[in-house]
Amino acid sequence: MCKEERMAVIALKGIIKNYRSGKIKTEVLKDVDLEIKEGEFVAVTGRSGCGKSTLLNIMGGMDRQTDGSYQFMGKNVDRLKDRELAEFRNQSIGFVFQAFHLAQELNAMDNVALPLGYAGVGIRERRKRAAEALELVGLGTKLKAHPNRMSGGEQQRVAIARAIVNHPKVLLADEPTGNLDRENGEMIMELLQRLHREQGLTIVMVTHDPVLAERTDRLITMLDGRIVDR
Amino acid sequence: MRYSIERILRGLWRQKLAYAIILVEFAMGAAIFTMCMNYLVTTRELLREYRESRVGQEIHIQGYAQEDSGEVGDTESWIVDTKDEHATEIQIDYETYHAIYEKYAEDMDILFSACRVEEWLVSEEDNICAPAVVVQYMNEDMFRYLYGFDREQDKVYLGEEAYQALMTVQRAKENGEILMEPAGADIWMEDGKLVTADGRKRSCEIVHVLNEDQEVVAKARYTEEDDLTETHTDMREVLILPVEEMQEIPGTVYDFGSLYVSANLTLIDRDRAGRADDLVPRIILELTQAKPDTMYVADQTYLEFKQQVDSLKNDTYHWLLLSVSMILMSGIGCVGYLFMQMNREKHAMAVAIAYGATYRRIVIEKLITVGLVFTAGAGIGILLAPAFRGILIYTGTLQQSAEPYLILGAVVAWFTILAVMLGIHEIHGKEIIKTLREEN
Repeated sequence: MCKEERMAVIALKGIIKNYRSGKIKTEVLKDVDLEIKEGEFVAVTGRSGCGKSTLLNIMGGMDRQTDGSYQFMGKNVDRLKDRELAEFRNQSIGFVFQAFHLAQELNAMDNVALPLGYAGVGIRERRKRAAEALELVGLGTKLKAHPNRMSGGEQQRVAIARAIVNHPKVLLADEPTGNLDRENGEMIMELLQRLHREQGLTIVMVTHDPVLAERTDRLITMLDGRIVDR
Repeated sequence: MRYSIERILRGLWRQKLAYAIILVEFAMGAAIFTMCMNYLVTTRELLREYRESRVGQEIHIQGYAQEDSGEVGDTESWIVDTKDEHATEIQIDYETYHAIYEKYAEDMDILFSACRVEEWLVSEEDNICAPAVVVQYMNEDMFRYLYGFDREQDKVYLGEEAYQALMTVQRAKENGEILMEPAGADIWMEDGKLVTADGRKRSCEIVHVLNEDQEVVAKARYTEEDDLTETHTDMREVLILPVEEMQEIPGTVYDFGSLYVSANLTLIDRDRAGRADDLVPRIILELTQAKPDTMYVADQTYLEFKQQVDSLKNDTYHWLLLSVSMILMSGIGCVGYLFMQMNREKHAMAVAIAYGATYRRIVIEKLITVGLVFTAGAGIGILLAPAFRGILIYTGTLQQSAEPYLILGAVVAWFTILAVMLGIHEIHGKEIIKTLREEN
């Protein structure tokens, strides 16, 4: 099946996002149109402050656009109420952050199980599925390890396991290798590629690294809140 | 829901030390509060019960003029609680009686009479002896109480024997016989009319009121085995004048003969019990203010209790204020800690939101956490209140002034409020998500 025939998981049309700080209005996204097909691995690049992360947050339902429409699998996301939006984030999206954002007081398994908790999955099932996700990212032996005992690469793998544990449709990664050295960064990229390849996961990755961006299916370049190349 | 409970319990366990401190403070506040409220409610209830038991109860004032001065103004009487066998007498003077009458006539039936007994009307030297006349000044209530019928206005009631005595005096005067003072000096008969020292002439009605047994000894009503038996006083030897007449007399010097002042004060009814709440102590207080050199004591049991309650009331309010401060402080502290925690856990909250939580849910979880701490604190406080009371009494802390604790509490409270304000200032719920972006 060629890419064009595949269903658009994410369809953004005329997205505008403004931030207001007192009387100053900042336009972060200016009339962004974007479609992400199912199973695509897309890299979003651009200079700092060009609106990449804001775009990712809107895609992930963490932020709402000022104007424009956002459809996810054909459904209007901008009409969802807070609770439905939370459910959408829980069921359909997996986030990977640059700074991992793992709970230091929880072990790897409990960190990974977090989205399952909000999905209402029972504790045993949660642990089982978290262990499977950790196994998938190669941390099957570190279920009980706490983040402060792990390397940056391991922590990011735990974060990826957390992002995929609830089988989301889309994985949104905001500079997943930004805090890692090249070796660990390479390892994470390989992991993401493997998940994309083996699980058919749709991935949108924000990155500054052109080498990593080149390894994705599609490269989107942003400049001053607009998509200039796709 | 289940996951929220898990998160709440986990949060409590993780922050156990901070929450334990808040819980202990709240529990202590709740314990002191419970103790104080218990004390206030119990004492109020006991005083109310006592007050109600006093409805219909008589307070008797009676006394004799002092021989030295003999002035009505110096007449001393005493209040006796007729229902309390062990009640101690309270001395009262005539003017104070009037002051009380003015103030409490609405709350009490005040029966008042003042009697002047003139025993010997004629000089012993002449070997002439006349029957005694008892001059009684009384108010209408007392008249009705003693004689069982209403007194007619401006009418003087004169007993048969008293009439005979006064007639004897009149005859003696006409015959130029020597009279002992003051017999016949300020009240005498003239042309069948009664003449008082002020020169007023009044017609008088000669009456004879006595109970069925024709007892000679005058007596008032008495209660026997809860049956109210009414007997009426013998009026044979008395001359009854309105009490207002007596007010004109103060300053009159009597060389001899005692002036017997008697008053009965009866609390009227339950409806006025509020005003009559601590009537006796109030009257005593006024008496004390009127005559500070005299010791007034009445109804020891009640008064001692009342005084104890009053003396502890201020301290109790201080302790109550302290407990409320502690409760408020722990409340403010807990909310402040909550804000601080939310501030510190912005990233964790943002991640939770990213993975399916809502900001509202997180806040509710935090509030439930606080609610649990307070509920547990209140429960422990209430359970510990009796033990706490014991400890405070044992260590003598209860008798100490709570003011230093209050000042300390106020200072801490202000710092807590300041910390909370800073915490609130730092928190912007809607901006939490940005923290993730800022990090990246």
